Amino acid sequence: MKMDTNETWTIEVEGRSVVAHPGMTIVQAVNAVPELYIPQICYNEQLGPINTCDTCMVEVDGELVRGCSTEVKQGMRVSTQTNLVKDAQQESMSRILRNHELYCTVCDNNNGNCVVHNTTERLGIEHQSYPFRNKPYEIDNTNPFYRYDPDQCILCGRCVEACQDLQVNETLSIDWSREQPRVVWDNDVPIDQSSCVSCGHCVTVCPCNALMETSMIGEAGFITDIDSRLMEPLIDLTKEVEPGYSSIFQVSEMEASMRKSRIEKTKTVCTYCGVGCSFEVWTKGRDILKIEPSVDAPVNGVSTCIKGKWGWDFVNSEERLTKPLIRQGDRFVESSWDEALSLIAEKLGGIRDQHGSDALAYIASSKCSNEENYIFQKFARSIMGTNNVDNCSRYCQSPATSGLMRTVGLGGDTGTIQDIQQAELVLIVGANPAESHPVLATRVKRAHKLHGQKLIVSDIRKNEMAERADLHLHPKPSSDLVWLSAVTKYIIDQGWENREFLDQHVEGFDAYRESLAPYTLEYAEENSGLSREELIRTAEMIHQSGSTCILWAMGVTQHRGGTDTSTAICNLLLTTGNFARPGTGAYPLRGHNNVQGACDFGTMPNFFPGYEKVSDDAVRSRYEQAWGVKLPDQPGLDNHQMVDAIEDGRIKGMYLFGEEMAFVDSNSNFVEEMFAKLDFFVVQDIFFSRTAQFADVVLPASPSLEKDGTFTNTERRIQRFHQALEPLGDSRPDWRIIQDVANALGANWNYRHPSEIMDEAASLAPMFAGVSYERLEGWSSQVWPVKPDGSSTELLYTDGFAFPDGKARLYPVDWTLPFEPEAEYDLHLNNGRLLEHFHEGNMTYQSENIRHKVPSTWLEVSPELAAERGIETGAKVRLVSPFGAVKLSVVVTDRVRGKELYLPMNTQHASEAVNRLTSSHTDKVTHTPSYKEINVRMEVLEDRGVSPLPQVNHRFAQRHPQISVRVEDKWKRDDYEPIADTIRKERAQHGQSH
Amino acid sequence: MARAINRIERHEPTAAEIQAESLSQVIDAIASNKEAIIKTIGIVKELNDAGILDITSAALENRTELGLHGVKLINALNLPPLIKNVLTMVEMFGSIDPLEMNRLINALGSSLGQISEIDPTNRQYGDHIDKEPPGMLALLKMMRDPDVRTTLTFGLHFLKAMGGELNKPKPEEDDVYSDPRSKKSNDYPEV
Repeated sequence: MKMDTNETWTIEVEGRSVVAHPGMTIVQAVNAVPELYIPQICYNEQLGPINTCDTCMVEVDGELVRGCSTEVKQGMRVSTQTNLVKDAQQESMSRILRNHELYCTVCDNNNGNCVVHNTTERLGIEHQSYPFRNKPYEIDNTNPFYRYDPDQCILCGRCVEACQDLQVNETLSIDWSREQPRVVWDNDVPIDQSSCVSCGHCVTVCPCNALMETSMIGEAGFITDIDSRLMEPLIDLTKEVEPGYSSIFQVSEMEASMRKSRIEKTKTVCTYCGVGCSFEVWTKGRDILKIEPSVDAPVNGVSTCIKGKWGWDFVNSEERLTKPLIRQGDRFVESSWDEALSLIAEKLGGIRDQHGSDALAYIASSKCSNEENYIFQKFARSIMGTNNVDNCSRYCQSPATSGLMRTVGLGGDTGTIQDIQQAELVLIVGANPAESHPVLATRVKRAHKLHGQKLIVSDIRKNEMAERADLHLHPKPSSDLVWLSAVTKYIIDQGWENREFLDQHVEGFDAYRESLAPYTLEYAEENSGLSREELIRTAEMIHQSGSTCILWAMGVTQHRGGTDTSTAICNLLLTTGNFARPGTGAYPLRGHNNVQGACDFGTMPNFFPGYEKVSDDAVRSRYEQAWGVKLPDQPGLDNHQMVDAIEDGRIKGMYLFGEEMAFVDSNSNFVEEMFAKLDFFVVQDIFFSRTAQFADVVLPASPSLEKDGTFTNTERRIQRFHQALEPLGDSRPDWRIIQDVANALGANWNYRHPSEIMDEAASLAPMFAGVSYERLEGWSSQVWPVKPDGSSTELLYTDGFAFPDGKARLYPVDWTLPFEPEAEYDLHLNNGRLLEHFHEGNMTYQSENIRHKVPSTWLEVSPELAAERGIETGAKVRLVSPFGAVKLSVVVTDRVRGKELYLPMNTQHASEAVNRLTSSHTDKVTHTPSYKEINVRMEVLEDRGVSPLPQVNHRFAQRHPQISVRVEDKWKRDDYEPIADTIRKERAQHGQSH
Repeated sequence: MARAINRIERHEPTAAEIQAESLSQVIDAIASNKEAIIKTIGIVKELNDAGILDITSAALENRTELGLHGVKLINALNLPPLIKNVLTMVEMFGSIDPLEMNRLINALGSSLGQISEIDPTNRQYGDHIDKEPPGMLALLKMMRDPDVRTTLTFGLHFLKAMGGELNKPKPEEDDVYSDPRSKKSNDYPEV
């Protein structure tokens, strides 16, 4: 909701002056004053007014109005306590309780936060005016994650609002045309067979127990798992004898208080992508009862995706590593920590002494915390004396970082999710946030659906964002730089460039304009395959938009010209003046939860924390002084170079944590061969990964729920996560293991808590000067650069770009032609993620419920190609590239076109892994593998078979879009009477007047 | 040279080891709570001697069945009205102002004390006791007494208030939601 916050109005509520702004509603103004109270059941800060529950009735000028949707006026007088208001509350609550049985003490939702319970109690409702009655519908238990109980559903429509207009999956609606309305999925199919993506929004916002996490049922309360044969008569008995609700509520309140002693609520940060959703995890012992998001979470509010809301079963998996393992002959043997640590000290120390510090390499984890990455690079540099340290951003976003550093100076998103939300135009290039960054995608989908945001998607696959886009561009693979440059050139040729911005803030325009000369519309049509009309329309849409954000990801970066295409994106934004203003900017979408933080905190071969060069003498001496050692001054090897250095014998040993490198590095056959050549290899993980199979020592680590720390999301936002569970078995938090290894090699460190590590990093890296755990308490977060006083920088470059003269650089780039395959490899193989699984799936496949939805990976084949090869969904095929072969089951879908295939990377089986097919070619600048430049040939093994994707997957269902819950349809019903009318009639009957 | 291996020789604790581990935890707990445990054993012994443990264990084993029968029994004995009446009385007593109640009880106490001294059915004339109750004239005479008038006024007000309540329409038999504000019609809205 747009508000003019400059103007301030005063309204009078119950005789108090309340400050409000034009555009605010009464409820918004009153909610800011703790002493005032207006009940609200369907209203939720993030969802806005829904207008269904009528509990928020207040009196304005003698009339009853809904506080949630009535805008304030200057000098308005609002009463919240009059008899008229109280009568209205009794009436509205009675209508709600007609649909909801109050059996709170035996309800698993009785945890102190049930909106219906709390409102009934707070209003002092003793009896309901209409009796409760059941609805003629069964409970829907078909979805394994959550259930819907129509009998308890108060028809407030929060779930529908969340599904339609916040998550924008458009599955839920309320069918107001039935005699007894209910929530329906699609056109009333069982939940499991609907287009529901199990994101959890509806369950999170449900104000009662109608929608509830299956994991809560029979688990949260002390007496909630009573046999239903006994439960029903007991509820009836209670109702028969109860004198009034207030005394019953006291019993349920007591029970709710008792639950606090055994249900722990711990704030954590999700580890499934770079968006950085934060929420509470509710645990009972080691059992995870549920994930409870909050409107206070800075990035996601109440939003989650299927993985964040339900994907935590892996924490208690029997396959977790719980003891150190040491290779002995053809097997691994469990050992004590002392044995493992002294063996590591002996071997790593030995290689260092014999072959020099640079004979060892260190791979850090983008899944682990800032503190763990900091302490790891400190270990590599100060204890082991090498800069050979890198992290997996090398596989994904290094080209984007590089492109940003060339043009605007800092390697991070230039704004926050707020900017993406409020942009007039969003351009997505080679990214599929609906599956890879689901919660971020919801903000774009919402703005596009409700607030007129325009959307252009450039992708060779018709993913969900492309389906929703105003314009879907389908360029030839690897040709993004061509059309981006052509569009920029067209904009300049039309005189649409932002002259003022370029003059004041940008260097190098003339040289850049000249470099664009080859990128005519004709050239772009020929080389990108996009039509002249599409290119011009794109240019026009950018020109007409007052603020534009460009989002990109692996579809851009994982090419040999990945850095250059990222640069071209920044050039386009600079030319049109789309930086340093709200609603503008460049957003490389970070893939893993802490890709940003791993790079920020220095696990890179050329940078100390905060992107200060290791070759800079002043910087290095700052660290030398703090750490009391001499540090190497030459940049070390990156991931890719490390693997090559194993081949030529320069690297003899390696220490890797939290990274499945044998699987996710391209050309994995080669990488595995190299690992086998190492003299000594330490792998630290929560599971026995494919990479661990090559290790000499495997160290058992603890996942985020078992430790403290911070992650930095794609917005550069640093967020704190807290320990919810004890480390399983003998596993240890990574920061502790790294310290143990360092101490075994003579470090003599004594960090007792990650906060001490963060304090040290903040004292050394100016970028994080004001970061501290005290400032990250609760839902607080900090966005870097963080000034010494702790203040964040949400929007970058408002005080100039990150170059000495404060000016950005237009950086001319050339197109790198895609790798030309031999003729026999006639199909292009695109690859990437999907919604339900994370990475290769070692965590998400541990969830039986997620497996129910998506049991394995599959190969997407276009209908044209399927017809040509005579295959159907379920067919088995072998894909062969010059580097390897895989065997997969086929899904025929029009998401892909012609000779373009799509293979999700989520498999734990080497025989299905895309990196058996990928090459060792890389981006010229950053050595990021060009995963997206693969051609294969397809051999049909069986032309039909069982579909690898079950029918209960949302991809087979049809969405049912509508705006909100359509409360007008409720109001049109014969049995609906406005609350004010009902009260008036009643008062006439009783001879009262107000 | 290290080829990929995935054989892990996990030390699976034997049944004996698991038992020994559990036992040592139990012994630790007992040792650090010696006195409480010894007292508890005494209580348990008494419960066992009294046969209460047998009853309890049988009841727990069959708790669902027992619960069902319990609910049925409560209904068969027509206990719900009793429970509700008790709760209503409790609520009623709870709503009386304790100061007023105190005054009333005091008044009652002192009048009872006086009654024990005289026999209200007899009239006393000096030393002579007439066995007849007082006549109408005598009663009218007693009404001259301000104390008697106060009590009578109090009683009449009480009767008036009670009559007012009784004259209100009687709640319907099947209406468990006997709130005076509840609707008279069964035609309730669905939304």
